[in-house]
Amino acid sequence: MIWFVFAVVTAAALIAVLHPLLRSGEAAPAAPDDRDFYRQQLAEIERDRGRGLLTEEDAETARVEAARRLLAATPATVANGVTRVSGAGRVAAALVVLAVPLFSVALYLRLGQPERPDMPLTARLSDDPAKLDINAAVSKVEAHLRKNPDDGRGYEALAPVYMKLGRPDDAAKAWLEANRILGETPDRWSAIAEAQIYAGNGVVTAEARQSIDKALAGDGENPRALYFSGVAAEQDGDKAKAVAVYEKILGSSPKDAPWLSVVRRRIAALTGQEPKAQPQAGAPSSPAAEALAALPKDQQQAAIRGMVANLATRLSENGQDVEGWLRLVRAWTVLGEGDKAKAALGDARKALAADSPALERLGALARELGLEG
Amino acid sequence: MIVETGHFALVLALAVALVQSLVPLWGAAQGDVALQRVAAPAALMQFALVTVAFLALIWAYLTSDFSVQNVVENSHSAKPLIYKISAVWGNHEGSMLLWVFILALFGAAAAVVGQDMPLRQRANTLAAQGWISTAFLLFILLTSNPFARLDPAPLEGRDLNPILQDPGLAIHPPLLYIGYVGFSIAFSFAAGALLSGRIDAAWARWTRPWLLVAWIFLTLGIAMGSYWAYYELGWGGFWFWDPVENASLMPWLSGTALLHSIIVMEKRDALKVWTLFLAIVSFSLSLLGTFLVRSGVLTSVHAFATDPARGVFILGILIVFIGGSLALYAWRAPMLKQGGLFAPISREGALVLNNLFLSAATATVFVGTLYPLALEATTGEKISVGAPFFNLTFGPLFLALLMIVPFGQSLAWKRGDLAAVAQRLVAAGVVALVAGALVWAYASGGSAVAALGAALSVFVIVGSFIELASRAWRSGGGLGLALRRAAGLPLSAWGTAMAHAGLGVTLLGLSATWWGAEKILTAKAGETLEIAGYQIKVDALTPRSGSNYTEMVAPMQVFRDGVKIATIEPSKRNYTTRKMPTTEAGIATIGLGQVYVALADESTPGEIGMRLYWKPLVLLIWIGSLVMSLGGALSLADRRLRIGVARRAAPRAAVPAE
Amino acid sequence: MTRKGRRLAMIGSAVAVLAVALGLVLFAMRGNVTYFFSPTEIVEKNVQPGARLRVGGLVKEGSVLKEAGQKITFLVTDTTRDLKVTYVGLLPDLFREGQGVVAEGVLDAADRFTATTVLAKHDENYMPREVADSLKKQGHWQGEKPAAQK
Repeated sequence: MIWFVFAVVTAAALIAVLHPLLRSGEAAPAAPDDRDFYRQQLAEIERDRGRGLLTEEDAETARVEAARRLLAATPATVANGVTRVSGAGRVAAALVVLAVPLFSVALYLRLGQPERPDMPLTARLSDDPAKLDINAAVSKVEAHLRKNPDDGRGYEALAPVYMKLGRPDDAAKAWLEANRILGETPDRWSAIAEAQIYAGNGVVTAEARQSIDKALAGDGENPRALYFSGVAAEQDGDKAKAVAVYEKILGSSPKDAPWLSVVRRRIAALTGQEPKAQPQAGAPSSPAAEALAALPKDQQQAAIRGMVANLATRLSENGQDVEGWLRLVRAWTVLGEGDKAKAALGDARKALAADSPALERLGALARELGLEG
Repeated sequence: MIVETGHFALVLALAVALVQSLVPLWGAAQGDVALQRVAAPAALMQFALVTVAFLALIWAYLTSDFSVQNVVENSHSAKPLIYKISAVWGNHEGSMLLWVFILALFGAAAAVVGQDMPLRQRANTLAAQGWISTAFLLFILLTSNPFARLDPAPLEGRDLNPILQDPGLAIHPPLLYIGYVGFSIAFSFAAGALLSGRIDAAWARWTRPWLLVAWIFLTLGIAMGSYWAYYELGWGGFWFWDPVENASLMPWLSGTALLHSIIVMEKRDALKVWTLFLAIVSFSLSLLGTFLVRSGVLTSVHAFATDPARGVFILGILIVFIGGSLALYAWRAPMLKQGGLFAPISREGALVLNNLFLSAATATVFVGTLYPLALEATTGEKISVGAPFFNLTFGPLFLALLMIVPFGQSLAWKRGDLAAVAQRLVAAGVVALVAGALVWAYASGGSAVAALGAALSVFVIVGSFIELASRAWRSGGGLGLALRRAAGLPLSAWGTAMAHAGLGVTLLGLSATWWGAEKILTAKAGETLEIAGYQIKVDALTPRSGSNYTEMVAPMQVFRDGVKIATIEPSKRNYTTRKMPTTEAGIATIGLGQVYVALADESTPGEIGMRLYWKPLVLLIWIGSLVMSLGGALSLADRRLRIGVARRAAPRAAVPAE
Repeated sequence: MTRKGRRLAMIGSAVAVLAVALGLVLFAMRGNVTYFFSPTEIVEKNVQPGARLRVGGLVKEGSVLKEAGQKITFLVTDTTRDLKVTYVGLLPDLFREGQGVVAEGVLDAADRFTATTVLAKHDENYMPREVADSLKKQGHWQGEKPAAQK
């Protein structure tokens, strides 16, 4: 279909250009020349004089001058009057017929993507929801919320999705909106605290502490809020308080609550008992990761940084590793080192300059992480 | 499919432009009529193809097709419709497509209107137009392709730079580009004339309407850009001598010179070679402007697109076109028949003086704009050349030019009588002196510059119409006759008077800046501020949100002597997608002056820092430009220009050449 | 007037106007251009206090102090040396800590500067060229965005 359209457009262009080449043997009309111009000027002077816009004297001077120039003007040159349709016309026509389509198609194939359809946003968003990817769904909900900024449930539903997508800042904002519209609940405050801690790369920030306090003020036994207040105490170095908080969670939670094992492990780590080797829910899967998980939080960070630095060194020696670069950029971003991520992105683009699919993936990642724009 | 069709049409337009550049030229050299006739349909076809491409890109923006990289980078689905459209040319790639679109439009128009031109000259002219198209289509396709696709396509765009989301931007670039690109026609006419070895008064008459169109739009474009900077950048300034502004001023100055010299050529058959030179220079300066803006060599408020690879390409275009046309000029111009000389005291003598001053003024702007770049390239030293430099160099030259404007307009062709003219202008001089004295008294202790500026502008305005009056008013006739005569004067005479008066009006607006007022202060809600006799009551800060931004508004009411005259809403906006703040000035127009308020960041809660201005007569700066353009339009509407020579001669065209 | 006389009059006026223009340019070039320096260059090149110039660098994190009456002080740093800048007025929208800035004004002492104008980078992709260059020299600017973007 698209090639049919291209063919029609090309044919139209060819016909337009060929038309005068194939219209043979017609005499060219004599072109106007300077003498017409001066004749007209004389007539104009006469008109102006008649209407009194020129004095007799001025008109006379002007008339003499125009007349003198009329006499001096040369008739149109021969080249304009003579028709000479030579074989050149046919040669040119043949060349044009060959060259225009060949040139256009060759250049277009280098630049264009004929197989790609248009992708208007409305069509993409109204596609079958089953086929809709998560980003499309999110942007649909976002658009809905822009139109209905007081739909608290919308925010409530969107927030956990943001968490899954690794956008804790947005998640926190969404829950705050839900709090504003639907009224504050301890549960939402504890969720906000979690998002804020996630956004702070595991550090319980002052902001997060306030959220925790608000959650606990509403429900002193909210397990998630309690847990994070325990983490906060740990980070303050107040082990005793942390243990006390964790014990409190154990005491107030149902016996089959899913978070119990996590809390027990924290207590074990703090009280110096052997941590159980059982893996954390959904966490480490490789030996290295397991070793990492066993380290205290601050050492974990240091170890991760070390690994990332190693990766960076390796890539600076051999840059032909797309996966490696993608990992590096992502890693720096996760560690909150936006500048290093950008630098790595720049280096990657340099190293992989010849590899356009790789560049596209880098571009896609950069957009995903918000490193550009 | 629409996107790819647009892309293909653009490639095909390049192929057609190549045909247009080569075949007619060959035909003209061979004397082959058929080959020369290819020029016009090729120009029309090229226009059709570029239009398809341009519409396809607009379509992609309208439907938020985020598989097109250009749309992703500059649009957002939540953006208002008008900014979806204006975003098409609010970025490098799209604006270059607009450039080529206007170029093709002019080429097609020249092909249609120029049907009465000698075939050979038309073929050469359109071929020259084809070279420019070819160069810029290549530039777009190879370095700045607006149809590049993205895979996978993101779901949301990155939005247009917020300071560009403004009605002013929707129209500023098209106006400016029509001006820039319009000079390409003068250039092509000049190249065509050089190639054909034929230049005469008829050439001047064919070229002048195009030139007028370009000049009118360039004037409007510069004025629009300046007004946009005035209210959108929030600094209260309207002209910064920024290199990008200078880039549009230079072609305007040389284009204005060209507009005057071409009149001498038409009326007196003189200044031919100089006029051709100016035509080449004007378009070269337009190209230079494009280079400065698009290559990113400048530190400038307009640094929207910066990319060295593109810069080198445009520099190449610049060198080829300027070097090539100057070489062609050096080769062919000496072969042209020289025009006559004339008396220094005459209309044409005055126009030569006008050309001298305008060229010198262009040169000072050129030096001030490019010297810092040259210095840095050679020595590494960085300097900036700002308003003080231009006020000292451009200022005196332009003021001197304005002084002689009424004289030149009143002098007769061929041999003028300076004494008689001076006598006629005495009235204007007296009015001007009175106006200057009044200003001096009103703004007591005010700057002498302001009084002189006001006097000069009044002199120019009154002087512009004195010539008309003296032509209409003959001793013995009554008022009725004079009015009839005035109405009977050619439109171009009115156009001249209007354009010159417009200059005076703008100068008056500029002079008035000296007696304006400015204050920087901090205010709390409920407080009443005072500036230049106006009281401004500040209400509480209120948050608001638009479709793609949130803002803090500080509503204010403007009073004079206890009477409320306006409400303004200056604000600080934050565009969410780009996380970019902008300042929206609050402007109350009172007569021809404005109260202008720009907010600062909220430093301490409840306190707002702000800058207050009273700008008297400020609107005159832009009204003057509108009057100038109107003058150009009147001139363009003149029957004699519109009809032209050839159509009149058409009935007897069948008669063989004598 | 004779033909020769007319020619002379034309050439004479052309030379006169161009001479005036040239004179103005040369005169204005001496006193009305401002040089651009980084804080380090001010010390290295021993720029004298009282000179009118442009200075550029990054706004040092945590150095911005807002006082009464819209008076602002901040440090401009090229990461080697700092310069204390005082400014009264409204800061541009994109003035931020850690971001590029160019201030124009008068040098009071080797480490103090009174600005009359403050320019910040004008959009998020754009670093003032002068600042980018001087930071590049110091090796702190990762620079040039790849050709694929704007």
